Amino acid sequence: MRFLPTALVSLLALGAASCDSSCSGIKAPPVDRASPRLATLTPSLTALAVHLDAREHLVGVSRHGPQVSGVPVVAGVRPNVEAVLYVEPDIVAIGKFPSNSADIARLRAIGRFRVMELGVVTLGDLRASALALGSALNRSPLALAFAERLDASLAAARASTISATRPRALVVYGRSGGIFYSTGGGDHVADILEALGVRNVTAGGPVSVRVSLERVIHLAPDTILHVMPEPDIKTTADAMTFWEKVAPTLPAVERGRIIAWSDNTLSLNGPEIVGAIASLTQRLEALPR
Amino acid sequence: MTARSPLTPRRFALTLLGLLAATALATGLAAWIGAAPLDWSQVGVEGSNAAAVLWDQRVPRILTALLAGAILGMSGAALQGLLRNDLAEPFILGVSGGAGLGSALATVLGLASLGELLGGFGGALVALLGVTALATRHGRVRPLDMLLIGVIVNAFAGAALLLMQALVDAATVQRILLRLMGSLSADPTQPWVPYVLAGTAGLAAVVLARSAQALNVLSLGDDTARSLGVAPDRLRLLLFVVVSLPIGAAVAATGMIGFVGLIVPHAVRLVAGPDHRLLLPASALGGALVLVLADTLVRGLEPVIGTELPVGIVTALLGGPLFIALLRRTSGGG
Repeated sequence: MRFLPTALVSLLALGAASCDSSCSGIKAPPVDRASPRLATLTPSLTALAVHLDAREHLVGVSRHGPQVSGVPVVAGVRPNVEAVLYVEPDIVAIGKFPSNSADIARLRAIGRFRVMELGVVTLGDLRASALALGSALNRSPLALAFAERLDASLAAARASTISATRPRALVVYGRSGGIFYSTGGGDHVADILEALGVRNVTAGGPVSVRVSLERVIHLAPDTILHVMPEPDIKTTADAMTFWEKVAPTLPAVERGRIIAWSDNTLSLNGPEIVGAIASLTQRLEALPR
Repeated sequence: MTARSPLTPRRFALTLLGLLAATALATGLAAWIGAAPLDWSQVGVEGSNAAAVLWDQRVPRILTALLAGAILGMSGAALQGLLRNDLAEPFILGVSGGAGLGSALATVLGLASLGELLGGFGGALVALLGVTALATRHGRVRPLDMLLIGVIVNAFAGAALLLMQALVDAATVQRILLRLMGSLSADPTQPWVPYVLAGTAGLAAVVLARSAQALNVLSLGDDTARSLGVAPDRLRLLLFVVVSLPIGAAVAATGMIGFVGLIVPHAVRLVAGPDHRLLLPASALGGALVLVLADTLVRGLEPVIGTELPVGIVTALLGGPLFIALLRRTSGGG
């Protein structure tokens, strides 16, 4: 029993000690290294870091996203704070989502590294994040070059002839039974459609929209874009077969205006989106009018 | 409020006719309301959009809702009687966890819709039959053990699902989550699903109807049931196996739709009384009615809010408070 008060006092002392380092508004140390150690906790940011030729800065990456040889995984859906601390980063880059706010606050409270909370949802976010990351990693020229390529691909999309017919497109991120998952706007795919002059038939809803097949038939899209491969829809031919079977009267099916993406270059808002925009522009232009 | 008087042919007929009429009205409403306005003059025209919407989308979906609701309501009433426990329902016996795990396993293995459906069906069956087997000792099914093992199986399956999601790639995680949300929207590539639901539900309905009187006797306790010529353990084993089939099919096809199997039998018992000869068919009709109405609400809201809510959310949001109200009412009546 005499052990109990000692243990309680020790616990209180430990609590106070941990509060010293996490609850008193300690600021992150300034990053003054020429070659800062970077942990990226979001796939898009890992891809950006690799694209900015900052592979040697990476000391931790997210499990979902590009893997870098010899670099440990320090985050899955959520960051593994202990793993992050273990790799001793100078900078921790994490995507800015509402669901991340608690994790970001927790990482900030540690105070042992600079936390960069970077947007990755829209193309504007991606551009700004590339510039911010480039600046932090002393890679500003490369980041600027990426931003210019992104701007150029969007300009080319705007200059294309696609907008002349104002296509009405359904974007499909995935399917479960008779429900399709689409975008209501506010993400990078919606930005690309806007640049192309393509109307999104599910615009106006939440960012992630569940659409029944009945509503798809009612919305009557004349173009369908499967932006992610699925087990039964990996190619445009698969997508065409699927839609001919389930909704043959859709204008998109009747006119053969269906495109499927067989990789995640369009669905992941990362550096490869520049090529994906150019490719989508070409493929939309090649569709029958 | 509970109808405690003996079951008369008049009450039997009136209750079922009333529920049948309400279900028919709800079905008509469900055909009328949807995610898209319908040009009724065109529904008979082959190849028209209106015909495609009504016959290929709305009717199979309403049929799925009716059948899944009937299965959940009827199974809930049967399980509550078999286990003599008011909390018994299909999902508490591990079936939801089993179906979710089976379906997710199929997703991880890269199987398409059919594989996920079969995985869900297999998982639900394995869970229900496994729970029954684990709760059986020396040929006797122990009702309390069954509930406890069901809870453990659900928790285990939940943990296994999380483990799976932690180990697979982001696209597979997304696919698993989408699948777990469930929907009554018929899978356009699997048009045979409503027939499977109808077949398994029909089989269970016939067996349950023949066992209704035995379930009434079982409610008096196992010893009394034995003295009256009912073998409780054999009855439980038979009925658990028989209700497993439609429950597994319903959960695999529609995902998690909670509360229907729990609340409908309680609500029906207030009106129809505890006699299983009426309680079972009335719960089937009540379940069908509730699920069709919930799905109609979901479909009607889709064009307004721009997205389709999972119907399980609606049944849980409405069912939770309703269950508490029912509980307070029956407790108050004491």
